[in-house]
Amino acid sequence: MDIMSAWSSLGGGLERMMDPALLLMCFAGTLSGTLVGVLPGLGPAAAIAILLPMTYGADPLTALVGMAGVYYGAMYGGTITSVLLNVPGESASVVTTFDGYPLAKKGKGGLALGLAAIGSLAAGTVGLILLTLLAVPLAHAALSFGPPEYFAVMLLAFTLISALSSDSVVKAGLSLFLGLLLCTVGQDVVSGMPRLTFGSMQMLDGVNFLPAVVGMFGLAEVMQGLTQKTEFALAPGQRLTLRSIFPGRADLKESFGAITRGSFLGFVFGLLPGTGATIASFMSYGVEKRISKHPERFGHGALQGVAGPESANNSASSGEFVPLLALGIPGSATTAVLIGAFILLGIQPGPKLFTDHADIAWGLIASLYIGNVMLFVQNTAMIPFFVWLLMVSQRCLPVIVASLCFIGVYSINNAMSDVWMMLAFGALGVVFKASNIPAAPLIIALVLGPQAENALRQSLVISMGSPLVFFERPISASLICVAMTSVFLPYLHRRLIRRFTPTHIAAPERES
Amino acid sequence: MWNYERALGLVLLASSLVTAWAISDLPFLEDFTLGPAAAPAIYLAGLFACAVYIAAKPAAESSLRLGALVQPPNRDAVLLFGFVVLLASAVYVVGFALGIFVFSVAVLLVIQRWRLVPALLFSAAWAAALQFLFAHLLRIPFLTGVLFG
Repeated sequence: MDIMSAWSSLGGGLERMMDPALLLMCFAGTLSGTLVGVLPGLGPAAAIAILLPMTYGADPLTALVGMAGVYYGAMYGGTITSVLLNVPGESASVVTTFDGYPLAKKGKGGLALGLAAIGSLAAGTVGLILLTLLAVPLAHAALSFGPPEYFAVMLLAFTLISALSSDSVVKAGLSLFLGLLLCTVGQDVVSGMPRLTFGSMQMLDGVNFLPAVVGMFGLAEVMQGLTQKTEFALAPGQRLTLRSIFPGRADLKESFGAITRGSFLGFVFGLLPGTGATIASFMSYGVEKRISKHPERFGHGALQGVAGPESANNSASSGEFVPLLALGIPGSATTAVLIGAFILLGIQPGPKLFTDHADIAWGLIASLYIGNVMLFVQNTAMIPFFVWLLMVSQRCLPVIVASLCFIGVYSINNAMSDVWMMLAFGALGVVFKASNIPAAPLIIALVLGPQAENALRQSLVISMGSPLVFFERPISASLICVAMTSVFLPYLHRRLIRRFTPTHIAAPERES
Repeated sequence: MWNYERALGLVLLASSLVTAWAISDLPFLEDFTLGPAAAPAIYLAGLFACAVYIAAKPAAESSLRLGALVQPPNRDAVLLFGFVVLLASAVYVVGFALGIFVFSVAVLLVIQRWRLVPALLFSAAWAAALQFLFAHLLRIPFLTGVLFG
């Protein structure tokens, strides 16, 4: 598909998005996502997992538009608390606290938020344009993938996620292997034999990833929030008016370079499984500080320190959709849930998505463009509302989140067994947090593990049992070599974060 | 020294032994490919190695004192989990609507330390909102419980 065809298809998607029901769902999704980003205790992964059962029976595109809106909106929403309260709403917004909160303390919180919103809009649009241009050619290239290549891509995803989600490869590996083991529970697809069911008929269906996600990213988060109670308080002297939010010409000129660089840098990192928005934002901060004529300003309210990372994390969100749509490979726990959503809606993401379900693929991409604009409006005009909501909701958030987790999981199959599974994973999630073990590898293993095993077994059938098949094919051999070398990435990652975190700020925890 | 990592490592080691026993009867290899026991065995080997490492060399900062679980602020998290477990048990008897109401009152009074009347009012409104959204609009069949069934 050439460039003109891509734009033509996008036009078709935009035309489809003009349906009022889809626009309403896009607005609801982005608003919910912003709330998820603003309010602590419920991450986008758990929010999407809870939303999914509510979309059963709806048109697949409508459901996916809503869930993509939540994912995208959380990136915007996390900025508000980072700037105004020095509390990152999402892991990708950690870097924004370095310079955003100092700006807020100087009475320029509105300026920081406005720059972040403009940077996010611009970078998000750049990322979406690159997504439009790259997704289909990558999908076409992937049509030539066979089982060995698919196995190699998934192995790369596993190793990158494990290498980059924690300082300890052993802990990330533990999470990954536990998730892979759990995904073997149930009936073996090839032989039909029950595995690890211990005679239980209910376990024959296997471990559903949705209760695991809600338990580990919803219930465990709100429980941890209770152990780390923070009294949110606005920086003194904050007055947020619409006028104060929009930056002047000089501020925009000062930030233009950072926004541009962040847009492209973020997209590149979004393409790679396991990297994503958090690393993109750190890299952008490091680049801006290095090339700045006044690096001493960073950590004390540098505009580029807000504009660059915020642009990078939004562009990375668009970049993550490229492997998700074209290859069916998630880059994070949240996109893993999105893939699960695709499958539950009867759509297989991957190379055939743009041929078998082109209307859904392009409708979804078009919704991201529209959602980007909606989010800009929400995150400028509605900031005082979100701040008020955050202050008010602190006192009842545990009830709201726990109830939604409970009912959302029950709604999956109308079965209490899923609720008990959520509780088990919730307890596991708390232990993981106390032990600094990342949860993302476990979730990605639950989603991709069955496909990886099938690809491995099919590859061996094709090669009459020879494991050399993975090294005889150049693409799979290259991917496996990259996967093996990714073991060294944690050391690079640690150096990166230590190097670019201002000395007066402790290095942040990794995203789970 | 007991801590979360060591405890988790030991639990996973014990589970690994049980799992190894559970897959011992399954074939590892089939015609030209791996059998149903292969993948679990490979993952189990990796899990076992990681579990041995964290059980043998746990990080000092993940210390576990049982007494800490019953003191604030950890106590609130334990209480919340306990209330959710009680809710999951109670819905079979009292149903979802009443269960959510009582759960909400309990959390607001005990953990969030609200006063009684606001807690009752908020809980009633919240339970009603959930009932309307899920049972009425989305038509999800909530359990009505033995008492009201």
